[in-house]
Amino acid sequence: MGIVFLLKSVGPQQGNRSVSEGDNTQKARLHTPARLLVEMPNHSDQASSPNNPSIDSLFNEADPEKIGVLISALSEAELARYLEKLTLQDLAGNTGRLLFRRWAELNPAAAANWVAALSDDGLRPQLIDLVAVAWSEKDLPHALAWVKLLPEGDTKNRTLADLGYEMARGNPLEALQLASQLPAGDYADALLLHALAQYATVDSGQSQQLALALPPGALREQALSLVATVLAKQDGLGAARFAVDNIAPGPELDRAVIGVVQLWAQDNFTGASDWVQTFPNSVMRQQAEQSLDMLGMQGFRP
Amino acid sequence: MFCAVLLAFNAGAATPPLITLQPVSQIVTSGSNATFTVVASTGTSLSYQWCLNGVSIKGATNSVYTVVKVQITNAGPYYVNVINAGGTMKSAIATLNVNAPPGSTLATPWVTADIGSVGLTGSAYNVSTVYTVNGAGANAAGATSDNFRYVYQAMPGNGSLVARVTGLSDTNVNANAGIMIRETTATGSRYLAAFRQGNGAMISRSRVATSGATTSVTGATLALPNCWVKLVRTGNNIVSSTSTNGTAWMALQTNSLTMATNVVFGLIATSGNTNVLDSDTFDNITVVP
Repeated sequence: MGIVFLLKSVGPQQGNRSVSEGDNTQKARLHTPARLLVEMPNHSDQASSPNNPSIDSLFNEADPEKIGVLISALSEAELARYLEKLTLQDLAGNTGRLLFRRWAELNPAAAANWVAALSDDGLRPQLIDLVAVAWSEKDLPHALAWVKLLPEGDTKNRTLADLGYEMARGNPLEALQLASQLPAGDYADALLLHALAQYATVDSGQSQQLALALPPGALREQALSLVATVLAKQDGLGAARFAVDNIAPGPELDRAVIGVVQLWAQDNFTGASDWVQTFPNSVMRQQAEQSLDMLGMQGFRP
Repeated sequence: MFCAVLLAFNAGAATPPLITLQPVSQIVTSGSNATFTVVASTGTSLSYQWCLNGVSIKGATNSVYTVVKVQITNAGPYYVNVINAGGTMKSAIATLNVNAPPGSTLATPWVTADIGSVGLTGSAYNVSTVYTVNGAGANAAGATSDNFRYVYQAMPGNGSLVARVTGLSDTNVNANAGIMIRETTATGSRYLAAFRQGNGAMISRSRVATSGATTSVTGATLALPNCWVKLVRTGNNIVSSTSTNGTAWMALQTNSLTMATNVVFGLIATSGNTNVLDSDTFDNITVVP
């Protein structure tokens, strides 16, 4: 049974990629939607070649690198004949997943339509994520718009967060806004921290204000610690002051302090070392001194 | 010897054993004992063979089996074959999970988490400069997503990470221990890693597109404990290297990865199996974030 047939499938799937020759119903249901979605005529007539192997030889290929290379080079026309033969079970494996991702790269709207209607609760969340990320490489706004239309729930939130990571690379402020729109939880927190760290590189002052404006709690402490660490790349002393002044004593302050020491010492070993000497005797001081020793051995000690 | 072999003999006309009490899964702390018990009823004499990961445990041939001073490498699926003249009855699987020693912690600023779907929850701790990372998962660096235990810290821009892999408890090719620079902790993140496989091969693998395919380079086969790995990030460029002594390095892979400026880097461990925790050890860790 082919990938497109599965659009309307219900009930348990069998792990057999090939369609029974006698099953005219399945064949008919396969064929028409396949053409509608991928708009590829004559796909079943194409001959197998080293760069365009049959689906069985592709699935039998032992070298995952070769599979990746072959699939990434497939045109939409070449891909169509694989999709027609792909089963739902194939999509749980690496080769099927890569074929599906290639479809999402080449024709994201079609892949999105297909996966949105998929009834398999096990595969659907992962494939939705795959489509969204692949789509975002070409057209992030449309990918985002599509995900926002998905039913509320874990899949939607996780996929939005993953799009946020893509967004954060070039536009961390927009990723921060997306994080703020996600329901409270792990996805929102992780995206906020990641995007805030990127934003700290772009505008350290604003990122500090944003971290300080978070409600008291573990997330705020983590955000302040992360911002301090990023700031240390540019201004060790300023980062040290920011951490000590704003983070409550505890694991996150320790994390920030060690992060600041590691980064500050690369630019100003003496300044970082002098700061560490002001610490009271503690595990944190020992770890800070170990970090300095390690960096000293790497040639950062003057 | 694989336990399945035992299933072949003793088939006869008599009735096979009937298991009336199955072994039970348990979670124990490293260093304590774990005991599995099976009770079977039959009219004839019984023999037993306990198995871990499908492999017979030497000397484990009673109805009660105790793992003394459990280590993380003892974790995994256990079952027992109960045998009589009428045949063999395989018990239910009882999983043994092992927690890290009490009071064990991870030095600041490292944090640890499972990435992806690993099957068994991992853990990590250090004693002085020796780090132990226990991780499950089918593949540390899969085709479109990853599953492993990660010990990581922030990497704001350029930097480098060096570690020596001194121990890797599993020998299959999907058991990996090494280091990784990773854009995010999402399972399909972009990354570049250098690691030792269970069979000894040194591998560098990278994913340049989120949830995309990976590319690998295979290096020399190195014997534990002298398996050094290094990653150096300069802008979008990441270079992985291996060494037998931490001094003379051989470049494995150079790749251009477009990632966010602030990423994470650290140690990775996976058993290559969602039912088994690997226990991997590292030392000589040098971090230049």
